[in-house]
Amino acid sequence: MLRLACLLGIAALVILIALFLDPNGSTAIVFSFIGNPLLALAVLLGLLWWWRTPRETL
Amino acid sequence: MNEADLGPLFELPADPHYLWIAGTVVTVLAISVLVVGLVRGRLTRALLMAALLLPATAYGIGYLFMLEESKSVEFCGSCHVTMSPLVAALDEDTESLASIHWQRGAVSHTDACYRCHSGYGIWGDVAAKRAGIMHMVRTVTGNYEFPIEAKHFNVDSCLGCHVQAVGFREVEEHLDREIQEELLSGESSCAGDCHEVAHPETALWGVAGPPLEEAP
Repeated sequence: MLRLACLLGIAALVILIALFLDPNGSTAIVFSFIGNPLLALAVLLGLLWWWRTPRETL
Repeated sequence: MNEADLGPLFELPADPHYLWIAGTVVTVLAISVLVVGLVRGRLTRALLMAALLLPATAYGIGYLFMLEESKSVEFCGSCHVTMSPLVAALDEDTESLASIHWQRGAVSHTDACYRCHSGYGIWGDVAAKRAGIMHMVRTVTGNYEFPIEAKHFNVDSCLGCHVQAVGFREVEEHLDREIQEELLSGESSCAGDCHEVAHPETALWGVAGPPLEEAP
């Protein structure tokens, strides 16, 4: 689950880098409508992994 | 405009891109932490916090960056189908209000679209950002029609610069109560009604141009 969260997070950040490199209408739309849901899902999965992982193993 | 147009010594105002630098640094750090998580399949408590906070911070900076960059003329013109003819007309046309302001340098070449379409003051900025989000939604859904038109042009955009000009106040019509009421309520507009049109009619039809008139 953590691996999937990290993968989604990296994908979201690659979209952000595209926006930084070439800010235009297309990259802004992808950032807003694809990057944000990806990041939200990644954070959700990360929190879920943390919640399900025994504290002593962290 | 580029630096070469300005002669040997003049240069355009510097833009230090602080948001770009901060955003890139935080994004690279965030990716590094996430790669560790991806490879190992587990993270320590500290790295997990970093993995949650750094991407969120990067996206926060990304939003600020996007809000700032979306003011630029290049950004507006990047929506090829709808906006690029309007931006091209700034240089090519000589009759419209937008091109007259543009070619006289009466409006900044950096953010000319934003200056005239955002109203004035902080609420003008808020309205422009809200409109920008709706532009993105309409672009994605294809929910727009040609010729494109502004639903309501905020006359404060004009007044913000012109209202204190002596020449403006010397014109009798500008001081007429009825005309002022019509302009403030949006019933009439400076552009097209009293002055030149804001943009050339052909540019409002997108890259495809206006439809051919049907033969009688």
